[in-house]
Amino acid sequence: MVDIWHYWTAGREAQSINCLMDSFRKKYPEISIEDRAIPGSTAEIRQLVGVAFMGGNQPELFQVGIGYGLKTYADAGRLTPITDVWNEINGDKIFPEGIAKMTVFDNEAWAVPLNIHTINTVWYNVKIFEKYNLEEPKTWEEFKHVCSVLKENGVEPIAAAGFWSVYALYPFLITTLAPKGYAALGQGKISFTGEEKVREAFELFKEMWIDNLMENWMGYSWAEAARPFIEGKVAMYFCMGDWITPLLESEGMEPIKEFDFFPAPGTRNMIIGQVDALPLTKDSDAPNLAKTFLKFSASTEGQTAFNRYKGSVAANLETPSDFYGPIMSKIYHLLHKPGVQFMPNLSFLMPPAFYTQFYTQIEKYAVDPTNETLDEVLNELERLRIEASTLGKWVNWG
Amino acid sequence: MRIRKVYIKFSLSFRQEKTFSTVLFLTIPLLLFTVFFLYPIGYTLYLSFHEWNGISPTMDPVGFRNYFAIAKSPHFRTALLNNGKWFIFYLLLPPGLGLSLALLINKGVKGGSIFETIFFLPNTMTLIAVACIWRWLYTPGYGLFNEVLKGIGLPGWTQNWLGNPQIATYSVMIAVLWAEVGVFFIVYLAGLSNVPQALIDAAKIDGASSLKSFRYIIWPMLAPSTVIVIAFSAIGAIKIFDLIYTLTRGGPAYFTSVLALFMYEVSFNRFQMGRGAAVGVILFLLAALIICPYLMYSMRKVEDIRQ
Repeated sequence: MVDIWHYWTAGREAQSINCLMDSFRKKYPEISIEDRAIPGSTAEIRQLVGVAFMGGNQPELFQVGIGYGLKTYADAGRLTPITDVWNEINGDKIFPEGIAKMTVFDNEAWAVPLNIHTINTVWYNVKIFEKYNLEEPKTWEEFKHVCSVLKENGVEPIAAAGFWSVYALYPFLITTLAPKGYAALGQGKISFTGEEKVREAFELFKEMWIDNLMENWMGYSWAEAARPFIEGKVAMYFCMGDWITPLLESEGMEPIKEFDFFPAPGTRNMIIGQVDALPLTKDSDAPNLAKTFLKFSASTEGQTAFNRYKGSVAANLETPSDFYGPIMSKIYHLLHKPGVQFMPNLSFLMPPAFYTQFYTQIEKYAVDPTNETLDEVLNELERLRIEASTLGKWVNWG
Repeated sequence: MRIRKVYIKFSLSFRQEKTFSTVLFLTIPLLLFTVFFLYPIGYTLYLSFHEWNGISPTMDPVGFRNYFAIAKSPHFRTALLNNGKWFIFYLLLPPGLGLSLALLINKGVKGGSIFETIFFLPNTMTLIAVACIWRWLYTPGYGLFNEVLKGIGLPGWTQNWLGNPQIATYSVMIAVLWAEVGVFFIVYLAGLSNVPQALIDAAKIDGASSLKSFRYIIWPMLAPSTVIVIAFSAIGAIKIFDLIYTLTRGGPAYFTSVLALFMYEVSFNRFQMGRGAAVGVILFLLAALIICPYLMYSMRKVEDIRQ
C-alpha cells in the first residue's frame, strides 16, 4: 500500500488530492493507496513526519515544499533519490528550470513537483478600476498614480493581512536587486546593511505598499482582509497568492468581470511561486509502488487531476490548459509566455531559522515603517545572515 | 534417619512492614513521575546543548551556543518582558476579580447559584472556541466591539485590538480574564464558605466596618485559598500560550510573544529543537525561581495562621 501524508485537509485542497488519488486508482486498480490529512501546515506535518521517522513507520510519500525544506530531509538521509523516475518522466524538460534547480541537487532528483502557486499577483476590483478609469499599472510610478486616484476618491487602495507582508516585499526586492540579486539574497550572498539596493527596496515597499494599506490591516487574517475587498471598500489585495481565487468566487465575485489580477510591477516577466512536491521516503514499505504513483503525479493526466480544483497551475508545462478557470488560465498563459522566469518564494531558498525571523522583521517594519525601525530591522537581518553563514546554513542553489 | 523440616519464618517488625508498604505503593507513581516528568526534563537539558532539526537521526553537540544565541535575540527579550507583564496581570486581575465576584455571591444574592454557573462557564470552554469568539469580537472592520462603539457614536474609540502592538497584549489579557476568572472565583467562594460567620457577626457587633471585617478577618482566613490562587497565577503567567497563539501567533511581529510561544516557534517553525529546548530550560528555571520560594513562604504563613 502507498501511504501519502499531506495537509490538504479541507475544501478544494482536499478535493484536489482526492481527485489525484481517484484518477490513479482508476488507472492502477491493483495498487492500494491511502492518505492521511494532517491539520495545520508545514510545521505540523514536519513534526509528525519527524516522529514517524524516529518510530520507523514513515509514509511512502508526503507533502513538502521544494528547495530548503526538501533538502533538509535529503541531507538527513530520510529520502530515497528518485533520479530514475525523474529521467523517465524527462523532468528537466517538463518542469520549469527554476523548479528543477530546487528539486534536483547533489546530483540526484528528490521529489516530483505537483503544482505552482503564484504569489506576485496583485488582485484588483474591476468595477472600482472601471469607475475611476484606471488601467492595470505596469510600473511603480503608474501604481503610485492608481493609489493616489483611489485615495482622492475615498477608496482605500490596498487590502492586506498580518503575517503576509513578506510576500508583498518580494516584487520590491526584484525591482531593485533584479532577479539575480533576489536569488543571491536568498542564498545569503548579499549584505542587508552593506548593499544599498536592499534599503532602497524597503523604502520603495513603504512608499508603494505600506503607505497605501487599508486601516487596521494588521488586525485581520487573510480571509478576513478579503471582506472589504469583496465589499468594494478596498480596491486591491496585494500580498496574497492565487489561492484567494476560490474564496473570492465562493463569495460571488465573478473572475475577470469583477476581480482580476496583474503581476506586481517589476515582475511582469516572471512568476514568483511556491511549489508542493512529493518525495519518496527511505526504507518505506512499498517504494516501487510509490514510484508508480510519482510517475503518474508528474504526468499530464495526474497534474490535470490535481490542479483542476487546487487553485494552482500544473508544474508540468506540457499539461493542457482547458480545465482552468479564467484566472488560472491567465496565469497559465503568463507562465508559458516566452522568456518568463520562475522565481521561488524566498522561503524555499533560505534556511527556515533565518526565514522565520526574516518575515517577522518585515512585519515589524510594516507595522512601524520609520527610519529607526528600518535600521533595527536591517541590522538584525544582517546579524542573522552572518550567524547562518557561520553555521554553514546557506545553500548555493546555482 | 529423620529429616527435620526446617521452616524459616520471615517476619518483619511493624516499622519494617510499614516502610515496605510505603515503598510498594510509591513504586508505580515514582516510576510514572520519573518517566513522564524527570526524564523529559533531563532530556530537554541534554538537548539544549545540541543542534538538532527534528528530522536528522543525529545531533551535534554545541555547548552553550544555543543559550548565547537566545540571549542575543530581540524576540527572546520581548517575550521575557511580556511574561513579566503576564505575571503582574495574573497576580492582580484574575484573583482580584475572582475574589470580588466571590464576595458578591457570598453575600447571598438572589439567583447566586445561577451566577456561579455563569461565571464558571467560560472555564469549561475549549480555548480554541474562546479564541474564535474573541477573534470575532476584536476584528477591526466588523467585530462586535468596534461596531458597538460606532453604534453609540464613538467611532474615534474603535481600536485595532489585535493588530496594534501597543495594545494587542492587553486585548489578549481581557480574553484570558474572561476565560479563566471562573476558577479563581470558585476557589475563593469555597474559601469564603469556611470563614465562620460568627466571627464576622462578632466584629459587626464590636462596630467593625465591612472593610475592617474583610481586612482583619476574611482576608487572613482566605490565606489557604490565596496560596492556591497565587500558585495558579504564577503557573499561568509562565505557561501562557494557547490564547496568544490562536489570537495573534505572537504578532504583530513578535510584540505579543511569550517564552512558551517563542519556544514553540524556535522548535517547530525554525526547526531548531536544541535551541527550543534551551528556551524550555530557561522557562523551567524561571518557573522554579518564582514559584518555589513563594510556595515555601506561603505554606509557612498558612501554618502560622492555623496556629
